[in-house]
Amino acid sequence: MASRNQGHRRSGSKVGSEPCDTSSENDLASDTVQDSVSLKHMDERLLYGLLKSIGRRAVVTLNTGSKISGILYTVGDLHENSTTFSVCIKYPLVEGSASDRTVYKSEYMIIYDKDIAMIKFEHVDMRPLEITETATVSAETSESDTTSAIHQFKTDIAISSARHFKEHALKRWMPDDGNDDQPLESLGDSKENSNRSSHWNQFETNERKFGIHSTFDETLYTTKISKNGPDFQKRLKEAEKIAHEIESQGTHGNVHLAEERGLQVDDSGMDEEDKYSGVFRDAPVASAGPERDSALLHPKGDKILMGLLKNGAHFSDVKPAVSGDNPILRQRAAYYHNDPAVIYSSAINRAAVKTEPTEVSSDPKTSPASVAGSSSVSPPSTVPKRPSVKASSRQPDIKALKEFSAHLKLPGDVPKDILPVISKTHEQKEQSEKGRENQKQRTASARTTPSTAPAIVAAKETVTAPVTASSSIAASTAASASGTPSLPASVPLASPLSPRYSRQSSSQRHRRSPISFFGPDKVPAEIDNSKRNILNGKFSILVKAKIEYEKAENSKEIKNLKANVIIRIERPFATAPTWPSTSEKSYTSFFSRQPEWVPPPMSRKMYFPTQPVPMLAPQTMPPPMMMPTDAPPPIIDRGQLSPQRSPQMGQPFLSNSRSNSNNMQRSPLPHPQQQPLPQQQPPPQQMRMQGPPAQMGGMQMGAMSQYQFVFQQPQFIPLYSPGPMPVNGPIPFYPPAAGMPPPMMPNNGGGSRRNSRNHSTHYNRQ
Amino acid sequence: MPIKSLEPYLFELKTVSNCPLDVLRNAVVGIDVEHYLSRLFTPRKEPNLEAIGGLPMTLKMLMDSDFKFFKDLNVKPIFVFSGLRTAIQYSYLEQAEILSRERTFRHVWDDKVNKEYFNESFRDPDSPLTMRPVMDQFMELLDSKNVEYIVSPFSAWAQLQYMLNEHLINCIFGSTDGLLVEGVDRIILSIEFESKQFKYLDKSNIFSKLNLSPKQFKDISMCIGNGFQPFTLNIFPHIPSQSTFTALHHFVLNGGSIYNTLLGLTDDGRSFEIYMKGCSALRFMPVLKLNGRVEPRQINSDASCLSVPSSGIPNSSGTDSSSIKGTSSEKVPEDMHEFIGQRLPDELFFYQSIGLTTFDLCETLVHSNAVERLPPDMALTSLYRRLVTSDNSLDIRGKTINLLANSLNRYYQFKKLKLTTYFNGSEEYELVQRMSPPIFLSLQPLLIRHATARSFDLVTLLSSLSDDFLAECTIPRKASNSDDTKISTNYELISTSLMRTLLLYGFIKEGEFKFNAWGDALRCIARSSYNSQYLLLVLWFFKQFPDLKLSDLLEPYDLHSINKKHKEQAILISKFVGLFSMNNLSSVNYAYKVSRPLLQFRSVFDKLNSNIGGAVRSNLIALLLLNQDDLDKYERDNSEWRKLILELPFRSTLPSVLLGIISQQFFEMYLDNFDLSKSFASINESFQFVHASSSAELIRGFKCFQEVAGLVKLLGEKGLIVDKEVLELFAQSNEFVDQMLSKSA
Repeated sequence: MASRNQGHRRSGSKVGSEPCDTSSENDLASDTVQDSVSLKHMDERLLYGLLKSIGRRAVVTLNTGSKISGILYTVGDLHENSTTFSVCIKYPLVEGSASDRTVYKSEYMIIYDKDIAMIKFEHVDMRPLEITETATVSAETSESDTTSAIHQFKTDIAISSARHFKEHALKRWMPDDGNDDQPLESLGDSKENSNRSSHWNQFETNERKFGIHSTFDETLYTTKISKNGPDFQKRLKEAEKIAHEIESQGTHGNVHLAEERGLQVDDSGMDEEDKYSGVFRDAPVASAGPERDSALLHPKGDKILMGLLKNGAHFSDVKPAVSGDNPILRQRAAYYHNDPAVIYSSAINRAAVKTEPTEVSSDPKTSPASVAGSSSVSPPSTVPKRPSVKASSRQPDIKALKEFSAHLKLPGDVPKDILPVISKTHEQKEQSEKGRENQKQRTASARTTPSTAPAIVAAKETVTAPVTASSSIAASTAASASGTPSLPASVPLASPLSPRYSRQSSSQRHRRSPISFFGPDKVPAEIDNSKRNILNGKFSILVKAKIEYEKAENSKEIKNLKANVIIRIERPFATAPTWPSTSEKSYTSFFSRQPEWVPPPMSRKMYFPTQPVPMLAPQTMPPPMMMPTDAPPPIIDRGQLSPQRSPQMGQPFLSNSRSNSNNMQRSPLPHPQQQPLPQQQPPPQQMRMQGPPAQMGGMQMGAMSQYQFVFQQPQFIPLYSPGPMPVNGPIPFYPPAAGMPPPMMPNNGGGSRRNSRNHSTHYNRQ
Repeated sequence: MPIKSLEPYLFELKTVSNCPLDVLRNAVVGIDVEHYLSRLFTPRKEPNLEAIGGLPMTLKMLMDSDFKFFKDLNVKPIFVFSGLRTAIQYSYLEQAEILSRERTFRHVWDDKVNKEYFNESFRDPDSPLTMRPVMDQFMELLDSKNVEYIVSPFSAWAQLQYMLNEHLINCIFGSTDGLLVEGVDRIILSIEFESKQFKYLDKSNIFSKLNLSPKQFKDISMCIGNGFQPFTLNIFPHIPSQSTFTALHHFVLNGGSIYNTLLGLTDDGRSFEIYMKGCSALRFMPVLKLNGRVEPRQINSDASCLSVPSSGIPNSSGTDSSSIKGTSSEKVPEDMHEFIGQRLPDELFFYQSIGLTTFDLCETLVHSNAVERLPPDMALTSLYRRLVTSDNSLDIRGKTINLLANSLNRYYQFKKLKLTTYFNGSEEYELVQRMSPPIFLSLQPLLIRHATARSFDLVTLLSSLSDDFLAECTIPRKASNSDDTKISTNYELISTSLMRTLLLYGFIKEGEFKFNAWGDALRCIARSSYNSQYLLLVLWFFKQFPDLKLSDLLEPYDLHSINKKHKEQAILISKFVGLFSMNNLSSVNYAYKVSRPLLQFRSVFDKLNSNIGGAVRSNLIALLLLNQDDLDKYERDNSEWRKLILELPFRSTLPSVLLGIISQQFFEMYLDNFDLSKSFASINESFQFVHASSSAELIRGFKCFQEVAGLVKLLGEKGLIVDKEVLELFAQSNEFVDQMLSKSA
């Protein structure tokens, strides 16, 4: 097994491992290789071995001779000259006889290089990854010899492989009434949408439907280009030159990249995720069966990892899989997105799937392309497609594509530069388009009528498939049909023009519109001349008096009183120096003298200031009691609410500035007998573990991925470091003598906070 | 004033959003003038603005360019000025200790005096450009561009909020204070016309990013000070450090409660009281309603604006509880005067809203205290002190307030007032405004009518002054109810106000309505070929200081010359020339020479100028308020009202002392070599960025000084200036100028 030259880099470090097949210690430390190349190989082997050992039981023999066993959690730096090699062990135990085993309190333990005499790993599976995975899966299902580590550590693959996906027969989606010219779905009210022939504005819709104001602003994410600059033209040319240079370079098999550069690639058989978002990995998980071919056996995942771990190793060294078929296709965005709009639309999708008529499922062999083509309606659960079968399945693919293209509606306006390209085919299509249009109007008056915007017809040429050279995709730019948010993902089918197109449409979508700033129905209309003098005649008591007078005169009340017109406005001295009021109370009664309830800080969505202030409010936590506006606060039986907390209930907390007796005077305590100060001080340790891990955000170790090499002592990181910190605010809240209070660990937002209850003993200023 | 220290913090947290300017197309934008000015004049712009006084030199140019963009976008701006200070804002000024703003001023002045070309600005983000001195000229600029504006009764933000809710405006361009205001979701913080975008604050976004509830945000803001509550409360008394938004924000995020902290403070509830007043002022700030009422937005009074015509008994509509309806469930407390100030009549607020403002006098009346703090030069000269606290000055001030209070509720007429100076610690003076009979009655007979003149012109009025004219203008009191007594045109109203002011200041013998010796001097001013208002002010100056000493005029000075003979003359000339305005100033970011003595001299004149202006306005308001039968005031539309206001004399602040600075530099050279052309060339060169031909302006200034010298000579002849030294120096200076002018010709 892998090991390292003891004398070469790190003395005293013995790392060994015990493959499961041999179960014997295999110390290769004596295999001293002077040659640097072979040394490097040794390093890689060691690293590989260590990686494989993660999650296995490890027995670390310390220099003192004692042995600590546990699960290998992670290992440290392996680099040359590094002195920080260490191993992190989970659930450490002091080895010994079963009786005197010592259990460490800490869940994790880091053992540093200098302390390690030898490490022994048990049951390490040195086979390539996918075999391991299979083993893991089988171990999980059969519950055979799985250690706790296997339970604990699961890769994504392991987790997802636990689900057993059944192959579904693919059914082509057909609309209820058979009118397949309808837009598949529409986010908004279809009538409303069809009335607006302009482009689709998702921000506007989002705001109108869900009240979400998008704060997106392109300039926050990119540098604003000043086109007025004196050397703009020059720089533009330069930029174009550089762009050309870059684009003329190879794409290293990256399909997406190639496509972006307008190259023609064979992307058939790839779904959007593979092309645009998926992480490269090629291990077949659920389908580990006869279909596994030799290409998939390459442990590329390991390669990438190794590359990452080695200094200087570059991602690009590892050639990514060209066409990794991911068998698990999901609409991740819809499920992982918190945006209600997306959730909503995905909900619609699911609903649409449910209502999908079964009788039209006459074409079970619909290709994935057409599933994707029916545009996000059904989360495509597909048959894994391999490149080898491409040719045979080409024909149905093209057919489906054609059909799809006829119905594809793209959001946004047609970019002007595309128009001439498409106009030719557009003419051809126009006729049939019109026919459909008429049919639409006839058959579905109650339903959405797509706009009559010109269709984009982009020729798609694929090198490998001669048929597709003539196949075209018609894309109507109907704004009303743009209710399919995942459509842009399928736009690249219309390559090579698609990158330009999507860029254009995205910039349109992100453009801030007046409605997003002013809100719906508040967008200012054109100012006409009558609006020019807005203030005229307004805000004037004189004008009001005149109008009133004229009214009164018309009603002939005053007319006969005087011949000449005299408007008697209310005399200025009639105005008393007091303001009108609707309450007999003083403004001071609007403010409660009771301390307000303060939510525990960490149960709220945590905001981390750029500079954490070691400052805690030494205050009590009164029971949840919102400040009443005009009545004294209701007296709640606080003892009931939180008996432990009652001693300080009514106490305005700021004991640092005033004596407790003062506090008593200023704010009457509902339970005077509870005034004695609490004496018990919860031990800090106790508190450390109280916070539910879920509330610790990303701070607990459990959140770390399996391969994360972190040396940090796994622990709860207190938000507020106790040391004095230079802040421009009131820092020295606590006198140095009293020290800092224990770090706050909130409970479940129930209003009880344990750490600050003893503030009076802690921070007594007097 | 924005929420202190918040704005940089918001930028730091990237909570300020950008938006292309096109979005504002066709919008009606309500603009908080104070914020607009602070945006135009950031600390780096015109750092010496406060040191030379006057209107910012680049203001007109900046406004021109802004309005051009507005026009291109079809955006209609409406400028909203802040009005009276509320009780809590006023009490901020009533602090004996030096204010932070004054401390900044002092510090910068010290640096400016000690280091040459020291360019630190008097402004900082938390104390932007003070709006009031430039307000009237700003209005003039707005009017010249046909841009509408309104002066809110109190806070501009409250008024903007009301206007937004009434859909008069589409959005608000204002300071961070707006985050405290309910019902305003987005605030345009700044507009960058050049880059065609604007920055705005999205309230909900900011609250969620700061992770604060509106209440917590308000609490923090009320603690660190904002436009509604300017005090900075130190809620951690044992920590001397300043409260900043950042610090308190962290405090709250860490589970602290500002409210509970305030409750627990040991300062006898003072901080909590300020907090309560600030919150209440924010909540119940009265606004000028569309129907002309000034009341908190929670109240909607539908009382008739007419007094009962038959009885003539004043209708107590304002206090009639039956006519008051709360528009919301929010109760309005009965003691709003505690945090807002006592209530003034709606009609007065209307005059204020169109720009006929008497802020100082109204605030004195409402808050019972006339606050006098140091002028922008941060130094107290004897002249300035006398102008504020001499018996004569106090008397006139009392009379002016009496004039204003006369038409108001009796409560104001008998209210005990005081004047407090906070020059160096606080000193109180009694301000007597209770007079019997009221001063208005003694002024009332003076009524100037003119059959043809519509708009006011000072020279026309001054040239027609004579005892006969006065006799003609005086109407016996018993006849004052006849139709003849109605005056309504701009000319009549303003002339009457000005003449009554002259009477108030003692140019006209009281009771007899004849000019005294001072009044006779008025006529010679009319012959001035340059600036009669300037000469009138100089005359007024000598009238105010009958026992003027030469040292009062000369000291302090910072003109350096070895020429003993002409040095004093040069100082005198420079000081008077420095009060004279320059024409066609370039729009330049002035960051050059300053002169503190010149500014001190200007401060005296500026104070006098605003006192006179206040008296003229009080007269006009009294006229308007009591002109019950005048139909004309109901017929005027906004533009006619504005015209009336803009024609008022003594309304705008004095020009900058730039010409005085040029003059001093000229003399520093000229007194050494007596080479006129060389000296002129030198100042032309060193001030070419300010003016194309500084020497021409200086010559104009010299000529004007000759008129001043002529006036002084006349006053000497009449025995109105007794100090021989003063007269002599003026005569010598006049000669000296004569020599130079003849040389240059």
